Amino acid sequence: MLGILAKAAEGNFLLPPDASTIAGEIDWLTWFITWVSVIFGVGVIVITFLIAFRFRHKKGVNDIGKGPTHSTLLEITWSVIPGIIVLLIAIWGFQGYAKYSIMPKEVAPLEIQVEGFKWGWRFIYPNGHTEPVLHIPKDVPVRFVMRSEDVIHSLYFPAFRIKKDVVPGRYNKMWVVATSESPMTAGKDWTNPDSFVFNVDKPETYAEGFDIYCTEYCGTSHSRMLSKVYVHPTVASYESWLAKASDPYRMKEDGTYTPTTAIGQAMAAKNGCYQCHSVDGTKLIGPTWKDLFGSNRAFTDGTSMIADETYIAESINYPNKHIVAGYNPVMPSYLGKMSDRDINAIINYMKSISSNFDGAKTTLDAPLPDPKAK
Amino acid sequence: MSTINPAIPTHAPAHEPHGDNYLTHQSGVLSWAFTLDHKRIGIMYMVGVLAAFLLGGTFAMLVRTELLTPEPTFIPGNATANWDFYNHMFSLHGAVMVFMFIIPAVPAILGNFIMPLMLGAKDVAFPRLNLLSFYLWVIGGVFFTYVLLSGIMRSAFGIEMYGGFGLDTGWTFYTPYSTTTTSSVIPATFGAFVLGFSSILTGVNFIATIHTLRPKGMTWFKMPLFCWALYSTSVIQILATPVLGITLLLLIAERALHVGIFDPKYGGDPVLYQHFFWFYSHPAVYIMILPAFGIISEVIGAFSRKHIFGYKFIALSSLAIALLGFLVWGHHMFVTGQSTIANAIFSAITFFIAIPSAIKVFNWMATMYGGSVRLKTPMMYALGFIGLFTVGGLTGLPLAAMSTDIPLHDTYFVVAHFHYVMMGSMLFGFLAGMYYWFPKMFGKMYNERWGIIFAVVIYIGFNLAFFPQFLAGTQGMPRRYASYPDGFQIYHVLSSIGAYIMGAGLVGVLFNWLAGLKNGAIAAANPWGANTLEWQTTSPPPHDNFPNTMTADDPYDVAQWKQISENEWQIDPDYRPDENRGHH
Repeated sequence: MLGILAKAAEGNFLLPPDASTIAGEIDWLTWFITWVSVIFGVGVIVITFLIAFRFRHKKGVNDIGKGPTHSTLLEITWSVIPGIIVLLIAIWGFQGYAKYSIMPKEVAPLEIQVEGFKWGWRFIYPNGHTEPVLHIPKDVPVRFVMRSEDVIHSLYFPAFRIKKDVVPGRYNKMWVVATSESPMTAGKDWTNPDSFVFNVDKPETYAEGFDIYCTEYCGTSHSRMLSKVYVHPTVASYESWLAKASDPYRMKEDGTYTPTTAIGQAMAAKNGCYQCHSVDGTKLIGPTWKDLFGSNRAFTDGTSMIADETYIAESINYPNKHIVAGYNPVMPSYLGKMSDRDINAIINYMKSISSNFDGAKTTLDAPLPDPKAK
Repeated sequence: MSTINPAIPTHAPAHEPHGDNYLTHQSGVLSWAFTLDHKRIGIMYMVGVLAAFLLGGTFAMLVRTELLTPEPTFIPGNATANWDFYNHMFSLHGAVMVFMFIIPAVPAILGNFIMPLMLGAKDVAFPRLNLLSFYLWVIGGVFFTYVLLSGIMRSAFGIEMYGGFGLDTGWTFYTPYSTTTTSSVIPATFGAFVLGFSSILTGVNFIATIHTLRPKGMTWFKMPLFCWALYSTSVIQILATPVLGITLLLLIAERALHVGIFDPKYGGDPVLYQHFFWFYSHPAVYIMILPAFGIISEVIGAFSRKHIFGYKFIALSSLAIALLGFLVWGHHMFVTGQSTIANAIFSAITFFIAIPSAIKVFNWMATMYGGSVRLKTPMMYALGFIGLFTVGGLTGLPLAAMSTDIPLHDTYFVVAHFHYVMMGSMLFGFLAGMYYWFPKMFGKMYNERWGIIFAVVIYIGFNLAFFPQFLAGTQGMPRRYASYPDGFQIYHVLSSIGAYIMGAGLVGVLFNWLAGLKNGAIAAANPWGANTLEWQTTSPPPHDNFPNTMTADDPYDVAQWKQISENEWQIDPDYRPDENRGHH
């Protein structure tokens, strides 16, 4: 209750922050309908109770009601007045929707591919870089070309006031021009990929960025199909971020490299692995990675295997070949989506969190060579 | 029954022993199981439908309990199992409530019992078909029970039953989720398919009854408004429900045989399913609410002691809603990628439906104006109905407007909106009708004081449960979420508290009815002093309904009401037949 009152005091108890060019038009109509509804709703309810009180039965005074029983004039009046109001709302609603569905043509848009899957989002940037979160620059038209890998999802940005279903078997498109940068802790570097810490399992990381929700029911973890959109203050900031984020194996400014296990850990996050695999032993949709590497895996077909590098790589590229007993064949294939170097990084990370790995853990963080450089 | 009842005085003294009635006419289980009496079939529906309501309500309580906190509540150690549990609970809640409670409640219970009496008829046009409708409803219920059982068996005992376990698709069965999930989609959709036939046959029966069995003097525009509402409802049931049946069969075929109509993996289109589904399910919204409109028209007229205002406008607005309701299904699909022009047409027709709905509300208010308003329990529910339906109708505006629907679609705003209409309004109409005709159905009175107290409790609980959901929705809270960002918790806590209060109120209503059945004062033939024909026979009615052939005139004629109002002592909440014996 205090939370609602606090929001009311800030003047936005009805709507979330608005951050797109069409939010203003939609919000205006929302407020118009709200006030029309308050006037009519309160009017009907109050008048109903006043009539019930004024004309209440009093013994011997009004045993039989004596009021009017028809009036064509009244019927026409209370049909036409609401009719005019709803006609206006319908027209204004259409105008707003036309803006949402027709992209402005003045500037070539930045195009970002969106893939929805059970249960996460994959945002694919123009250079092929993939992230589970969305980065876009402010004041630039951005077009989302959206497809689903499995069932229907729906991409919803409350702050932009837009959503559209992500339907398997067709491409749906949606556009936005963001008008204000997203919340970001003061002093953080927008161009540094490490500044962005969103983790769906850690609500304390939800504060930065604007929310992204899946709004079409899609099964078990539908309510965890969350993400964030980070609206960069400038195009330069966005491009600089993208260049750095695209290369996890890069030499940093101080001449060091990111430890390979950390790259593997981030690579797994980027590909949505933690939607289904825990690293602390918790049972989720898929087996936990803790102590997985080097362990003996028993499969649904009765066979078993030691989880070595070959097994891990196979499980990433052909996940349904061997299903561990007690789990369902629900993992999508990552064939072609991850390079061998990426898979090796993930394997190194899995080795680092497995007590069944018998090698030296100190060597796991050495930089992996770039196969293209040879 | 071959003998003719002795003439029954219209206003039998309350303490006079009743003679033969439909409850005592025959005895034994078989006399119920094979009865062709519309009244007994109505009572059997009442028992079944109220049991389904209790089941659906239990699921609702589990859903609201889970949502008290963002963290897993029922299975704290295993988040995904917990979310699955939640998904099954909200799906079963929706499916049981819609298919087994809301759709059949008013037509099958009150329509069956009261409508032939209102027409002065002996029964519906096709009594055997009526019994078949009931047994189809039971068979549909058996399939839903199977779905529930399969979920319990798998989660509690690890036993797999044929067809999957539980139901996790939502009541809407959207493809391709429903064609790929491992839950019992085929048994559930087949159950809904069978329930659909129950609904179709009831519609056929009611239309035939209204066309052929009206008494002398009852022209179309002298027909009680409850019958108009049931007539409009039956039109929808007959024209729309077959589409649902075909759709569900196609869904079963897609799931079992991969025919490639809905699942893109086999070349199908999942949005086509949504078109088919809403082509039925939007008109079905009016199957749910139109009969409640009819009840409210009867109750407000009777308890205002005044001729209903704008009879023709109320009657024809039901028909207008029924017909326009077929042309608005696309407003459920504004964000699927459907064409903007199609969306604009669907939006415009949707707004057009707002007008007949508004006409009804204004006419009910005008009926009370200048009346002699008696705030008995049915009237309290009718007043509650006006409030809830007004809120539910007005919050339809931003969902019908294309631009404002974009952010609100599939959020809690929609959940709150359709609960105000389908749950608040429909339930308040149903309870108004149950209280209003309770004396007629059972020949006993309920307790008036507790009746009003529980009506107020339910009204408060309902608004506390669902009003905060509007605010959660405008803030962006998506529906069907087992967990949620912390900022939404306050709305969920308020909502759950409201749901518990409402649940307690509903249990109170049930106790009030049971107490009325057991210890209630004997009801007069016409305790409310209403003028429709069902009040012209004894309470409860005899097997053959009326001793004589009935004739009808204006059902809301005020002239006859005056003498009846002197019998008001009969509905004194403190009246007990024993204490008052010889009181007159």
